[in-house]
Formats: sequence, C-alpha cells, structure tokens
Amino acid sequence: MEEKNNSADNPNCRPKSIAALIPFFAGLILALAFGWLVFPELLFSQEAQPFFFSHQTHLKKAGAVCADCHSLRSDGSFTGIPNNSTCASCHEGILSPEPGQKDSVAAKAAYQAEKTFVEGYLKPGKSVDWKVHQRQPDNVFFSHPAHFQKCFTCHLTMKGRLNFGTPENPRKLCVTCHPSIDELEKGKPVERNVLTGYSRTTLKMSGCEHCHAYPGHFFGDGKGRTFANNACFTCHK
Amino acid sequence: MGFDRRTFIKFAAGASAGIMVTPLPWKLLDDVAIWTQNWSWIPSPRKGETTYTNAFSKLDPFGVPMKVRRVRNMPVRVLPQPGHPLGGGLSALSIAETQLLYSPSRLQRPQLRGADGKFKEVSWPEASRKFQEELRNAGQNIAFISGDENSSVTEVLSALANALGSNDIYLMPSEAQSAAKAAELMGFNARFGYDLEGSDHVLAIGANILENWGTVLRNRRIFKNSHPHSFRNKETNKEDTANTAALVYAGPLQNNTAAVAESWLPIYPGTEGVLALGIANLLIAAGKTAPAADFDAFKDFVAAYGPEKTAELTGVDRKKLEAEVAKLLAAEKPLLIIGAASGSGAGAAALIAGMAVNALLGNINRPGGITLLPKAGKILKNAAPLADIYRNDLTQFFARREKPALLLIHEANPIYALPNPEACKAALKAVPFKVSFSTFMDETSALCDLVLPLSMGLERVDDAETPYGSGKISYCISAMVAKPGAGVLNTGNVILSVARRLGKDLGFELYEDLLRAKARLYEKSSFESLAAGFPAESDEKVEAGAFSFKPGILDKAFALEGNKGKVRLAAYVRASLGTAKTGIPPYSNKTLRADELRGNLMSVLINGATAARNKLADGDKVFLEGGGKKIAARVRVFEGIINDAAGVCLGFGHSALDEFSQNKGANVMELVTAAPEPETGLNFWCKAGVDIYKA
Repeated sequence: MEEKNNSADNPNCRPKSIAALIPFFAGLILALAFGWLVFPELLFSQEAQPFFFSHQTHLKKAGAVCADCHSLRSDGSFTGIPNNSTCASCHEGILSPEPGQKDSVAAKAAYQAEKTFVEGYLKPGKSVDWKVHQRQPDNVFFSHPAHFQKCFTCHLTMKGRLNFGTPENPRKLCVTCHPSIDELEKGKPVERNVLTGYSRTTLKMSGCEHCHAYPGHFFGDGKGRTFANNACFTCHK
Repeated sequence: MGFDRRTFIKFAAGASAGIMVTPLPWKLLDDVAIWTQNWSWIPSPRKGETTYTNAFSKLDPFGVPMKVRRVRNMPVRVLPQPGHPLGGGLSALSIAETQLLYSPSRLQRPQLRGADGKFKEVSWPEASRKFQEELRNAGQNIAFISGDENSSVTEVLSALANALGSNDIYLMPSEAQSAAKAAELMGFNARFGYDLEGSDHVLAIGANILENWGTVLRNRRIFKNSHPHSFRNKETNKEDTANTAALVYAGPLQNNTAAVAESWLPIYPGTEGVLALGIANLLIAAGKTAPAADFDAFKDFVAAYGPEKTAELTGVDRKKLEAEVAKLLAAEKPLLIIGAASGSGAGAAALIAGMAVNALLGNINRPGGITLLPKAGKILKNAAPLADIYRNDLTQFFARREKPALLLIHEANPIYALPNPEACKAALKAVPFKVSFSTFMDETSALCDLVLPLSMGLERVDDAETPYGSGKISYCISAMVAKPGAGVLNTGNVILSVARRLGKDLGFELYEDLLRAKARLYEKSSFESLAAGFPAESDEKVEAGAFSFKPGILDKAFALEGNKGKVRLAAYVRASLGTAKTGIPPYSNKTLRADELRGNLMSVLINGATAARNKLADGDKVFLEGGGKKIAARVRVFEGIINDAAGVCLGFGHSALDEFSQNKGANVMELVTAAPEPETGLNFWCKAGVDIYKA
C-alpha cells in the first residue's frame, strides 16, 4: 500500500501559483458585487410620487417652516402628510406664472406640478396619494408632541450639535429621525422593501435607541429632566 | 485551467466569504423577521384625523355617558365623558362597544324561520312585509316586550300596541319597576330619586350601588369624591384624608360595594325588607315619626321586628345593627337605598319598607335624601305612561295560559334573564309568531320566527330619560357615531313605518323627529345640544302629599317563602359579564379568575361553616338543585358570605351569543322560580333555597 505523503515535497501539496486562488477571488468579488450592488436593487421596489414636489422651494423660496404643513392637531395627534385644504391655504389657485420657452426646466416642472395639484386634485376634491417615506409600523406607539416637548426640555438650550433649534422651527429635531429635505428633494420615489413593505427610510428600533438607550437619558440627570424611558412598553403598547 | 470540482469549491468558498461581508444575509434575516410579523390579514389601525363625539351607552343599562374617539369617522375607542352629571368613568360593557360592533354574534340581515324550522336570510322589504302581514292577522291579540326602560322606543311600542287595540306591553323586570310599584302603593305620584351627592351617610341594603344598582358610574364618582386618597391636595396644600360621607352595605355577600364600604352587615338573601323593618323599629324606638297616614298601624306592625327578631330573621349581628342605626341617627343627611343584589326580582314590599325608613329619617324631598321626581313625560298621545307599563309584570305574562297571536320583543332576552328559563321557553313556543328586534342572536331571538337586526347604540340616534337611581330629572340623546351596517335598522324607525302602512300613523315619520319633539320638552336644551352630549337637567320635585307605609302589604309579602333548600341562593352580578342582551363583552373573559370559572365550571361561594355543615371542601365539584333543576359548580370557600348561603354569579351559562359567552358556567336563573308577591302585583324571586351536594 502506498504511503500517504503530506509533506511539502509532494508536488500536489505545494502552492502552485497565485492563479490557483483566482476562483476564490472571483467568487468573493461576485458575491460582494451582488450583495452590495444587485441585492439592494432587487430588495427595494420604487414608487414614484404622483407629481413633482420640492421641499427646498417651500422652505427657501416661500420661507415656510416644517410646522406650516406638518402640524399637530388640536388633540395632540400629528397630521403627518398635509391634506388638500392645508395645501390650498396657499395653492388655492396656480401661484407660479406660466413659464415661457426660455424659463428653466425647474420653473416648468414647478408650474406643471402646481397645475396638476390644483386641477387634478384640489378642484375634483381628490386627495393626493403621496407615497410616504416613513410610515411608523403599527406595532409602535409614537407621539410627536411628547418628543417635541420632552426633547426640547434640554435640546433647546444646549449648544453645538445638540441644539435642535426653536419650537417654531424645530427642523433639526425633525431630521434627527426623518430623512433630510435634501434627501427628499424633487419628489424622490419611495423605495419599498418587497419583503416587509417598509420603506427604506423607515426608522428602525436601532434608530429609536440612539436616544432611548443613551444612558444619560434613562438614568436621569438628577434634575428630573430626562424622560427617554427605554422600557418595552414605552413604545410597544 | 478547467472548471473542476476543486475550482468550484474555491469559487463557492470565495462567494461565501464575500456574501458574509455584504448586507444580504443580515438584511434578509431582519426582513424575514419583520415579514413574519406583518401578515396581510392582520388588521392595522386606521390612520387619519381623530375626532371625539359624545354618546350615551344603550347597551349598558346603568346610565353610561361616553366620549367616542373616531379616526376618519370610524369609532376606535370609548373614553369617559368628563363633566357629565351621570358620568364618572366607564363600565366594562361600554368600553367594549366599539369592539362589539364587530361581534361574531351580530345580526347583519333579517332572519325568517322557514318551514323546515331553520332560519333563512331575507331582505328587509321581505321581512317588513311579513311582519306587517302578521301584525295585521294578529289584530289586537298582540303583546310587546321592551328591554330598554329609558328609551323612547318603549313609548313608540306602547303607542303602536294601543293603536292596534292592545295594552299588553311589558318591560324587563328591574329595580325601577319595583320602585315604581312601591311609589304607587305608598301613594306617591312620583318616581324616587336618590340625592347621593348630598348625603353624608348612605346605607345600601341589597343594592350593589357600585356595581349594578342605579347610575353606577355616578355612584362611583360620588363615592370616590367622598373617600379621597390621602394625597396632598394641590389646591389647598393640605392632606385630604377625611371621608366626607360614609357608606355602609348590608347584603349576603361581600361584593364590590361591601368591599369598600366602611362597614358590611351580612344578612340572608331576600331579607332586605325585613332588615329595613328592624331599622324602622329602632328608629321609632328612638322617637322618630313620619307623616304617613297609617303611621300608627306601621308602628304597631314593626314592633314585632325588634333587634332580636330582626337578627334572627336576617342573620344580622344585633349589636352591629344597633350601632349602624345609631350612626344613621347621628348623620345629618342619611339615606337608605334598598334593592336586590341580583338587580331584579325584589318585589315592591322591600322598597316600601326602605322608603318607610327614609321617611322616618325625615329625608323625603330633603337634600341628601329621597327626591320625589315627576314621572316621565311622553310625546305620543296613544302611548301609555311609563308608570302604567311598569304595572305589567313580565314573569306573570310568561306564566299565564292565554298567549297572544304575536309577540314583539325589543332588545330583550327574557329567555335567559327571567327565572325558570325552561318554562319561559315553553311559553314562548306557544306564541304563534314571535318577532325579535335584536343586535345579537341571543337565546330569545334564537326561538323567534322573525329576527330583525337592530343597529347598535353607537349606530343610531336614541335617548335615555332619567335612568333609575338618578338624583334629578335628566334627558340624554345619544348621537350616531358609527355608520350603521347595510342590513341593520333602528326599531323606532321600523315601528313608525309599519304603523303608517297599517293605517295607524303615530305622527312621526322618523324616530329622530320624535326625539326632536321630545327635546323641546326641556326648555333650556335643544336637540342639537343634547345630541352633542350636553344633557338636559331639571331640579323639579313633586310634593310628597299624603302617603302611607302599607303594613298590611308588608306583613303578607315578608311571610312569602321561596323554594326550600339546604342553603339560600345569593345570586350576584359582576358588571364585567355584560348583560343578558350582550353576553360577556370582549376582553372581559380575561378578568375572570380561575377561582371564579375554571374550564366551563363556575364557582359557588360558601363559607367554611356552611362547607363543614354540608361536608364539602374547597374545590369540590357540586350540584346546586332548586326548582326541579340542577347546575354544576365548584366549591370556593369564601368567608365573605353569610352562613347557609351559596353565592353564585349571574351572567354565565349562555347557550346563544358568541363563543366567548357560550358554555361557560351555568345560568343561575334555572334554579329560581318566581312567585307572586301578595297584593303588589309583581313577582318575587330573591328568596330561593337550593340544595347543595357533591357531584
């Protein structure tokens, strides 16, 4: 019987060359490419917004603040996406002048969007079917007023990156959880996970825990000013 | 280089290593976990604008004002209505009204019994035609039963009955009926109101005022306000520890009222009136008198109910009785409330005895006492006054030999709620045509020939006039807060329409129009303000006039004995078990402890001495036998019950309604037989004896 030879003298056990690892690296690179580039495209479907909408135009040109459209109702619940009557408080008719041929593409798009809203939705009394980027899952209780009030207890007076602005314009507080308006610019389509039905920007629990699990929040500062309880029932009723 | 096995393994190893440093496996794991929690058939909460609408519960008979939270006009939650004179929280039934809209036992379409004896769904026009035809054929040989004494639907039914030539209309037996009869016999042209707010010492005999007597939420609010927690009052910055009123309870069982009362006097079931006579005896001995026409005769009569005799008859501790009477005498505004722990069947004699005590305490039409309220008004000329309808006893209707050709039942389940259900079933079967207006397929509807689906309280406009136990006249209108289902209608509208088609126009096309007319009876209110949840109130009182204590009636009534047995039946009510009409409301099954219902076996409460006397031990399966029927139960030894009494909970043993009510325990009413109370015209069933033995 031939004796087994596992020594380096055996030509079969010697590394032949770097070429022998090509299949390994090919698999590795293909998997990386699939996992990072192809898989996300497969996992998320895209839902286009009904028409062009620019947050930047409303905030920078019209001087609006978040709360002008996304406000609290009298009972404290959050309106979320504004309804037709909220939009109609400004856009009862078409505000933009009809663009000429020389006007920019953006101006034409803005005019067309406003015309679509006024004629296609407002006049027939039809709600705009906006695709929501961040719909909170049903298993979570979330109160906007509680966060406005309690987060501002400290973050209104803190300096630097921990300052969340003013109660009238709490944009920095909003973007702590919500996608920034730059991200949502020009009616970005909603990317919906085909398995879960959640949008890509839905806030996951890790996002909540960014504040709720912060020890300084739930251990308290000794002055009764920290309220971010991290107990399960705080959010999951 | 070929693509051999070795190459493939290298490729796979590379791919495996690579995939592990991409989001794919980790994201997929996370997403699959979420996917498994969000199946498409799991209902999700409706999103949108929240509004709040005031309403008044029509399912709960104890006067429950509510505030209903609606999301995009769909009711999602019931909340208390602060500031309402009858309010003070919520009941287990009212809190479940939004869920009950979707109950599996809800009727969605009319059901007509076919020739094969089975129900078949029919359209409303077909059902209405059949109903009309049967009414026409029956002529004046018809009878009506209403399960809602506070609603104007009873007035509409009475008007139709009278228009067709019948005065056979009945209400389900209630405390209000006993009180109405007592008031009539005593000579009061009024209803009894109870000024609990103004009283500083309340003695409740039998009446479980914090669970199932009168305006329960109002009673609880008054109790809460008079029994503050020992917290620092923010307004006065002082410790509020002193109770501003006392509550004493006398009854066979330590129920929810007894549990929080300052003192509990255990008495045998059905001896509430006798205890009141014992108290009257001590009050008269202390020099109290009353301006009753027959006071001297009453004084002679109660002389036989000295403390010793009362203690012997009722089981009360003599010293405790004397001490409690001393407290009544010392109180500035004492009030005695008397009723049946089971909520009905007390007859009128006990109420007369209780009112005699109130008269001796001098609290008739005085703050903190009994207020004589004017009788309920009516709009329809043909309708009988409510006080007249109370004269008709439903148990006697079921016992009588002659049966009507047609019986119409509105929101009532007599087959479950009356004593001796088997006899009631047989009586009902003897009626040639039975129509039930019901929201749920209950025991009575299941025996009827035509079942008409009734909109639930939240789905209709309805009213409630001065629920029994109120302190003053009130009128509430409940707005429609939910869109009614396609196949359900309001009894009021159906009856008004059928009456018109029979050529007996009752003067209103729609029930809502009748309520609008009724709202005009209340000067400072309008239909709109009433429907918005702001009740009309009136401080109107009726002068006491000449009244009497009727010792002759009391003598005969208290001599009445129920079934004989080893123990006395102490039936009690748990409000969380709903009513005979609704069965156990959603979520309430969870409130039942294992020592109340284990499997399908309910508990019977007896104390240690009674258990020893009957050679029983905790956990034994036993039979309770009475009136020729027996039910199974498990012994729970409980020291909060008087000797020789067996505490059993009403509300179990449904054979109809939904799976959450069916086959849970047994219906205690099976053990009970009603007997006429001498000279009052009412039947009495609060003094039943039963045998108890090991199964």
